Amino acid sequence: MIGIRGCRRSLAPRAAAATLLCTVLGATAAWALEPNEYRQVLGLDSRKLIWFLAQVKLFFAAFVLGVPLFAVLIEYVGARTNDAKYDKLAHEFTSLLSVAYATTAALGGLFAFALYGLYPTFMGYMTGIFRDVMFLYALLFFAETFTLYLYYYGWHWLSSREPFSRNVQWIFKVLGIAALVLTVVFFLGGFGPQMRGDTRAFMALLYFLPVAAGLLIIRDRKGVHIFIGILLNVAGTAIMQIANSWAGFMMSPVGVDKEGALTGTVWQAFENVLATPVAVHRMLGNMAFGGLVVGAYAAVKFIGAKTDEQKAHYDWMGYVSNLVAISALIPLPFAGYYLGREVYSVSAVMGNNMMGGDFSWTFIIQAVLVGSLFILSNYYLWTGMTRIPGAERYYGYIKYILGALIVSFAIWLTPHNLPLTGAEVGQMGGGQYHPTLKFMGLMPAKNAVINLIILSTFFSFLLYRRGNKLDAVAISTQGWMARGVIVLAGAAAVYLAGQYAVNLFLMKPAELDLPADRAPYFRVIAWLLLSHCAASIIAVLLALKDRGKLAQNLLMAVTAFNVVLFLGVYGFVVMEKASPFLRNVAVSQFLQIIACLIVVTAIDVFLFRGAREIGRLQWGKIPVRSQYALLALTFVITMNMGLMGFIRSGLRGDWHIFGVMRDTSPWSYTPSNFTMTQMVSLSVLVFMVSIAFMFWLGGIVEKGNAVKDEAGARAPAAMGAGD
Amino acid sequence: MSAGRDMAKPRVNRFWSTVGAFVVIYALVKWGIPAASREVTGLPFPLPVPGALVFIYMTLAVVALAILVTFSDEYLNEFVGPVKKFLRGDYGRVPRMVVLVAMPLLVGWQVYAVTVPDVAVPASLRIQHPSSNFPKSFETLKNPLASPSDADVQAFIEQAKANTVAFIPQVAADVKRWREANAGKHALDFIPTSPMKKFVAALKSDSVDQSTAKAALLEKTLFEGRALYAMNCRACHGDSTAGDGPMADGFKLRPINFTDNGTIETIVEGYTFWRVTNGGPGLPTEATPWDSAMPEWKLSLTEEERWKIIFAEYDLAQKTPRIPESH
Repeated sequence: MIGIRGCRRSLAPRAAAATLLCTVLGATAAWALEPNEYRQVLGLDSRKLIWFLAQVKLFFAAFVLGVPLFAVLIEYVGARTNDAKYDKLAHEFTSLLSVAYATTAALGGLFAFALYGLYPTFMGYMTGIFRDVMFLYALLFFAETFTLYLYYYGWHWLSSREPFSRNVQWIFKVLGIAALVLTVVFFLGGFGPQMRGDTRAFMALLYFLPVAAGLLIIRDRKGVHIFIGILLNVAGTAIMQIANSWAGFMMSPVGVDKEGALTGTVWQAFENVLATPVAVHRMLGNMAFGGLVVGAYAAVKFIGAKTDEQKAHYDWMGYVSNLVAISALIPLPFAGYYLGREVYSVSAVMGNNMMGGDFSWTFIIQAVLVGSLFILSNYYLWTGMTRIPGAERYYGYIKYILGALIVSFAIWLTPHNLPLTGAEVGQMGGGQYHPTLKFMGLMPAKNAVINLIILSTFFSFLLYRRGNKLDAVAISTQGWMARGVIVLAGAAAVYLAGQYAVNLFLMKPAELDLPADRAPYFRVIAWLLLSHCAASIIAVLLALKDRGKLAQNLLMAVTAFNVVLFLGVYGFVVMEKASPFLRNVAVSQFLQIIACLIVVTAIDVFLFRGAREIGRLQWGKIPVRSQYALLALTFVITMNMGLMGFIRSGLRGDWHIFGVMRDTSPWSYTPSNFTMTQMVSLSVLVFMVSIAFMFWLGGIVEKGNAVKDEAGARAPAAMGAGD
Repeated sequence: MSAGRDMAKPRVNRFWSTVGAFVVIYALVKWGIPAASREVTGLPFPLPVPGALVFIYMTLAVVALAILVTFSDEYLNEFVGPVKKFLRGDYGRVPRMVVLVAMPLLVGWQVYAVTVPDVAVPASLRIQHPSSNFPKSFETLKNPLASPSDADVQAFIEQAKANTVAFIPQVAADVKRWREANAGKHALDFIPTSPMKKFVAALKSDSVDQSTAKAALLEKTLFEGRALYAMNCRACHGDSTAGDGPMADGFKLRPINFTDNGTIETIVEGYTFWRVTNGGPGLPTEATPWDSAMPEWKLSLTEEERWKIIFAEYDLAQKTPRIPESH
């Protein structure tokens, strides 16, 4: 055991140091000026080798960055509720992380060596541009390593709930308030370099705010431990943001001219157009991925569990993991839409290649995978309802939810441009599109059904939550906190939809190169948003008047009508008459869905808090099939990540850095979808086998600890008997 | 859930309701959608759901039914019960024998039908907008004729005042003939649209303003673009750009319908220009078997003529080119 731990301790800093060394060596300015040079190792295709290493490294990195996000949250919930089971769960999550961390760092080192060795000119150039950032990147690894080990190994050491003295608590409070003020000032643009709004929001919400919140909650050693966990997340997120900025720079170079000479600042190059959209997408993706990998661990443990206690524990662990994954999955399509839009903004060629060109069929594969994620998540929730006494009251809804999901999935999968046989072409009159099914392949239909999928999944979750609850609790009896949160949620919803409505009212058709007579199309959407604001206000008022269920039903019905039915049809009218405005319609759909989720969740939290129960939830009494669904979810999301990695990177075509540095290697072509499936499958297989091996290793350590604990418990008893 | 209510309501067994649902979905996909499509469009073709989609839809149906049957042990037992009873011979040994013999034969027949070689053109994945070799230099191109500069408009006014407006050679002869037959009329009267009439009237009353002149200039560009379209593109793409020209039926795939949403309005003008310029031969290799039959128009039309055609093409289709997203 000591060997394993020692190995873990020593590998990560070594790999980080190796990366640092590469960075220093690579920073030689002359490298950037050499003609492109490519090398091979063992005669292998260098591009495929880099592809494989990058993908496997990213799988591990996503896991290592995703898990702490929710481990800290769960630990905080445990500390707040004084419930030891949350603390134990968070610790178990972190133990998995600790095993995978060293491998991630080692893979990072290998990946860096491979890049510098096989693509020296390209990496020389990148190092020339980003050398300052690369040093910071390497140093952040030390920060992540130290915080991770302090977090994991200091778990018991920092578990005391004995409060610090008042003075010490005050110091942390003052520091927290100062950090909070800094967060607000930073968010409002008070300091820091010139940056895009999304980058500023990203940094304020993920760096400044968590640190401020962490300082504010420190009252005892446990608080300090949670704060260390927050610092671990900040370091991990910063590492990810930096690496993303390089990937973003390769797609959307900023601050350099066509010859690659730095004409702007390193910050401009760092904060390129795609850096933050990729980072936002990856944050959510990491969280979903981390949740599902841990869910797979819980599923395997559940399947092999010998006792009811073990089954109950791993069932619960799987449930929490799936919940984390769903929470991240729901906003993920919107983050993807935002990223896609920004890809178009960088280059219409890239955008065209993505959605209508070489990569269009890969998006059908992606639709299969994403749809499967939602279907499997719902299936897991429904099987989970069988262990909830009283949930059978809601079984009747399942077939309707399933119907909505499957029909939506079918529409989502229907391509505009169908694969046809010669005979089918003739039977369709020789055209390229089916005269009616073609509509399912267009954006208005796709946007409507993905929103319905999200809404249906959310509805499943609501049913799951109220499975064993007898009656809703009057909000008026839940105290000022409940009323305050619901009102705040309502205000947030009204702000989200309302500000966009105002924007649309003020928008001039000329801004979209449209004639003035197209303004009514903008107004319709603006009024629709206002109707949603009104529905949110009414829902809040109803909830405050103890009609919470009606409030939820009303808001969900209005949202479903506006977003799915109305805009699903009206989107085609907009497409026909004011096509450029269609992207604004998509934004309005997103805002209404998010607003609905915020208000309905806020009401739901208090509607069933302390409600009478039909029976206790019977953890462990779930059909074993559900665990295979959890396993399938992990495979699907891993495949999806591999696929999307291929698309994101492949969009550059034959450029290392789009429009700046051409790829002149023998591998500068877009691989076929067949090659893609081979490479992605290989990466997924290697990751799965590796992570299974690591979990097994973790199990050995756990078993050793359990045996030691048992022996320790027996020894005093034996001594007592002897005495 | 009340057991009493369930007992009172006669229910089809879950196995048969599942099989029934599958059959209904298959019937809808196989015959329902084509029938509805024929009814809606009025087209004289069978309009079947393509095989690839039937496969996708039926796979989803199987997944959905499997989910519905297996999410609870109770439902699963109810579903599996009749199957177990059947296999035990509780419904008779002869039916069991018939099914057990028929099933492998049916599967074998299906496998044979799928794998036996035939001479049909295979289904293939087509790429809608092949663009891997689309040069970056084209992506920011804007139609120079769509927004004439003030100087261009001024020059047009001067020419119009002097009645020396030049038309493209392809229509110049027609204009000349028309002018000979309509002596005393302004050359621009040849284009009898309201913006042009307004401009000519303003010319006569010497009250020309910049915006009227600009609208007239765009009208002239559009007219010339339509003429060029009629001469070069109409045969395949049709009068209204719907892909229904007199030669359209001669292609394995008819030319694309530009009035269809999701075609030319989803691409930037630079892409349209590149496609018109380089035609089918200019497509990247992965475009095969899309096999566009469009000629390389750069060989027979000037750059200005190609832009005029594109201007007219969007106008005829009543579409606008994609506007590049801003950061």
